[in-house]
Amino acid sequence: MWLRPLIHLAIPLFSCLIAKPMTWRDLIENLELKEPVLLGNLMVVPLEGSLNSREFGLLHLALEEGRARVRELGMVEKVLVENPSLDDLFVLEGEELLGARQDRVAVSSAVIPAREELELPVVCIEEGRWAGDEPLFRGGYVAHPRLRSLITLSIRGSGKVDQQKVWREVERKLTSLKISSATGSLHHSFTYQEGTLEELYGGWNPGERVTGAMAFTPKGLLCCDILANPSLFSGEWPGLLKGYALDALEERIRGRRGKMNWQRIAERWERVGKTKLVRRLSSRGKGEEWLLEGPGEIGRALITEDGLIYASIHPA
Amino acid sequence: MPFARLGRYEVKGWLGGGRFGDVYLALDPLTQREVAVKVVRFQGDATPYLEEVRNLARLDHPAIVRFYTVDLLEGRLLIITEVVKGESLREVLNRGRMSRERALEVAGQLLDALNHAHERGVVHRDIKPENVMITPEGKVKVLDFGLSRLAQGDLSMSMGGTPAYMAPENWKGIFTPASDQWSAAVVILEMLTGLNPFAGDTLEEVRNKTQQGVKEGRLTSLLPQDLVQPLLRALAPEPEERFPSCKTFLEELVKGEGEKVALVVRPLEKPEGLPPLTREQRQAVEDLSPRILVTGGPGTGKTTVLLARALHLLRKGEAPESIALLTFSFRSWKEMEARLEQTLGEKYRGIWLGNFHQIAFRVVSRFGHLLDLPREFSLALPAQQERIAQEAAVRAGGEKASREILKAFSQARIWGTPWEEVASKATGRWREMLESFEYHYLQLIRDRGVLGYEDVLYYALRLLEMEEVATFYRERLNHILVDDVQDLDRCQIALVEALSQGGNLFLVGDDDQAIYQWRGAHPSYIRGLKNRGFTHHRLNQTFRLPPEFREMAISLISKNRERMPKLYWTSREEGRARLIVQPLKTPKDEAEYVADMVEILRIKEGYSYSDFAILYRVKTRGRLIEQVLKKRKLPFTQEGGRTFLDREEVRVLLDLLAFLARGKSATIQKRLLKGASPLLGGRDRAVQELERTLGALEPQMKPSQALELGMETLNRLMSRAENSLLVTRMEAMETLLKKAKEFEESARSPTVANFLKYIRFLRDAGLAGGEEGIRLLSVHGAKGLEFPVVFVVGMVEGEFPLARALGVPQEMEEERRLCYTAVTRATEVLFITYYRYSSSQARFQETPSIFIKEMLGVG
Repeated sequence: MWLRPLIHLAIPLFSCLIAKPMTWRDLIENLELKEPVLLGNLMVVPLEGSLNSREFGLLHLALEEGRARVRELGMVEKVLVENPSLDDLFVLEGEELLGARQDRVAVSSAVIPAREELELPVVCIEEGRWAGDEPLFRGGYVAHPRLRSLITLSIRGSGKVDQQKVWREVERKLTSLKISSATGSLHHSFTYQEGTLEELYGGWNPGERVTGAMAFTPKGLLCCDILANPSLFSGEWPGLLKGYALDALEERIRGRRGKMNWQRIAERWERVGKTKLVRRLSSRGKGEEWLLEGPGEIGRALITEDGLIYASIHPA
Repeated sequence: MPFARLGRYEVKGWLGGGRFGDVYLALDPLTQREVAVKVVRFQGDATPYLEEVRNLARLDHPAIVRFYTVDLLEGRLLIITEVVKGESLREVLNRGRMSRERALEVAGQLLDALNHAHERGVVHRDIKPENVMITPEGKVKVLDFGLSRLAQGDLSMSMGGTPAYMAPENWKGIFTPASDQWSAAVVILEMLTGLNPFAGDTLEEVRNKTQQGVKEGRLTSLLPQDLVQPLLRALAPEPEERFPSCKTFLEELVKGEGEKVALVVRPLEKPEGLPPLTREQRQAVEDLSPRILVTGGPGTGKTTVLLARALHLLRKGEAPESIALLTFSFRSWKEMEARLEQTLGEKYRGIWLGNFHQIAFRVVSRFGHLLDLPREFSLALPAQQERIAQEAAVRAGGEKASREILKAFSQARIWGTPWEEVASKATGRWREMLESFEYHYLQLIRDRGVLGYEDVLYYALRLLEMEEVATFYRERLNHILVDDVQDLDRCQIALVEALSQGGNLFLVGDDDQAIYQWRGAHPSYIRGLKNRGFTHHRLNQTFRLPPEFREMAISLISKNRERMPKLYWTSREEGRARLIVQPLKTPKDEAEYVADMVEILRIKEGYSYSDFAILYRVKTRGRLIEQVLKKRKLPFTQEGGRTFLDREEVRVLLDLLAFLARGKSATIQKRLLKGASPLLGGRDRAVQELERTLGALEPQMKPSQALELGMETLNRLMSRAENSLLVTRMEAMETLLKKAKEFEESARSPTVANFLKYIRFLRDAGLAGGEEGIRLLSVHGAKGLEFPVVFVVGMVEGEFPLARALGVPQEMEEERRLCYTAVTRATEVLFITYYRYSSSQARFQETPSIFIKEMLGVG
């Protein structure tokens, strides 16, 4: 029965589902690379197009407006998302959840149906705290691409996230940015560097048709984030940009110079296009999560009956 | 294809960023020229910024980055300048301070550029190493003139600068040419010393240090005297106390230089005297890891890599004084010195070059007073040191216990173990004796003003355990390079590790050629380095060994269990090398055969005498060969050869013997004292004392006795100023003494006169027909050398390998390594010879050396 809705999906997406594995080529055929935008040592290549027009509420905005709640369950690896609203709610993988007993990030993207609640897998990004009376979380930014990539690699390997590795990455990031955080929270790297991040990497808003972005630094591709439509993308963009900026700032501090030319972009995009589905992962909420791998890339995608909702690709 | 653009400029890459914004590498599509585009954010009206930029456009100086144009784009200034390739002075200084010459060359260009700007009313405001580029051609380019003010985004605020380089008045918002002068002086100081005296962890700390200024005493301890006053003035707290211009500052700075400091920094000359490096050699040379081990078989260019590393470091801007190059033997040291001098000229002189005793000598000379060692001391001959130790042992424990005390003493010296540690492990009366020994020993060496070779190493180690001494060398030595690391004993290893604390260590060696275990060498050290975080580079290409010899050598050495596995390939062609294994009847027949083959190969195949080497394991074999060569009047040289006989101190000693042999001839005495005077610093009293020693010589003395008396006196008297050569001179004199003792063992009439004849023969034998002679060497003496034709003689069980090694695995492995070292000296023809009977009367046959079978892969 679940198969029927899938048959009605866009042909590029599902016509090959039975015949052959899904490739990115099908998905990105109608996505167009636009002129890169320079933000300091970060180069953002906008992707224009639209994969599906489905609208969602965004968790971080819903939390801000009180339309949803995320509740501490007393377990490090999961939290409870309560969605009493009339809209399906979208959670971005890597999205920060702050407060309660310790700061976390969402391990995977998910769509929480309207008027439902969901136990969301999370991973801790604040090693030095397990205390606090506040039962609810507030929203934050999106973890930097390097951490998101680490989470994906971890899931690929063992099916679950290696918490120790996440803590070590957070510690490394704080050290490289010379930030002293009393509780070792990743979020402090955003707050302590807020002014710098804004000054160096602010000042660009995606246009009406932008549905995704590839982020580059002189070192190479940071990641490629694609959302279902421009509305979803513009809603998530501030959080995504902060994550990109954190990695770019680290490279700036290290003085990493290098090429940022079109040839690199085109080559990378070509390789992203060769990514293939290798495994379906267990997922929560609506839809299912796919693990994608390419010649030098790894990523995940969330697919629902409406089509592709979100995909992120990182260098492997 | 869409590019990332900034206005019309097509962005190719990101070059860097600062407070003012980012710099991109871009292509100007109109001119097709690569440019640097600086993006500067500003607030409000752009007009004041454009005026500021126009000031910059008036600057036209080879050491100032050329300005092309300016553009406005969406609230940002785009400043278009030339692209500067190279690295920043900060990147250079991160690798260590610069040599004086190089620092002054950079300073000259920097100050000249500043002077140019100041004359046109432009103040930089942010001079620091990050804003000074050094191009691959060695030119200086100063970046970002005036941009620090632009970066504030508000021209009404007169700020700029980087705290640790800011003059005192900068903190009050005052920026003038004099403050640029201050900043430049800080940069120059940092180039010369590696230190910024105003650096601190907090802004408060930096500000306080800046306000306090720098004291003359501090500069004096860091800099050559002639640079102290100019820098002190440029760093005067009040701007009006500094030089009137950067031009006058520069003139004072370079007043002591012989010629005007060039305005163009000359890159280091292309090194001569070194072959081009292979890929694996280059990887080792250019590796930036702090701990590096390079291993390779015979002829793989290990010493070349070591020299290339030293040159590479110098080319990268390392000061020669921050590099220590340690060799194992006196000969390797002299070879290194010759090659460095050939490649670098005078520049090499700053490098710490020497064998371990030399380096240890420097440490003890400088800091020995911290251990109450004599301030001025001479090196004791081994016999002298033994006598002192014997005396101290007798005083401590009486005649009976002295032998045991001396054994413990010798062990402690070999292992570098602190004497307190040795004593602490003892109990009761024995402990008292050990403690008492040290007391008496120190007293005796202080009274006599002497230290033995082993004492120098031992005390150097003790001194390096002291924080003050360790810090002194840590601040000066950035790079320690060591050759033949497989031959280091524990004391030498400890010395290397102590000197390299906090610095970079580059070790080169081959554990298969570890042939000094009998002398306390510790070859397993090299094997353990991989587990201690060393980056290991293997040199796999041998340039010396033909394939046939390579196969044979590997077949031999692979029989050793305790070794690092190696695979190496040869770039030599196959089919041209020859191996001849020749049994002869007796040792005499063997010697005659060797002489025959030398002549045959010389006549028929055109080899010259110097192409031949005859290697022996035991002295008796060497002496027999020597007799045959003499009889046949074939020219040969032995270890030491002609060169050491030409040294001044050796000539003085030979004159001393001649003086004695000729019945204390006044003419010879005059000549001797004249020759000795420069060695003694020209001091009359020292010469008089030497004269008294001549008077004490007795006609019946043996050559070695007379030499020892003369050496003791010379040692004591040699001028303090000559101390850097003291160890060299000692070693040369020791070689002569060794020859005298060998002569006395073998000569029927070991008189002084006969010894002098022998020495004359040695000298003359090397000069026949203008050619160098056949080299007659022990296997140990042949290490590191190569010859087209090599004879390895006496290859019988009991001789090679030695009798004492038979049945003792560790000893056999050392003998095998010796044999491996011997057979890998040949590049074209290798003779392995052995005799069947030890003499013409012997009845029992000798067994050919097992090493022959192992080499041939049979049995």
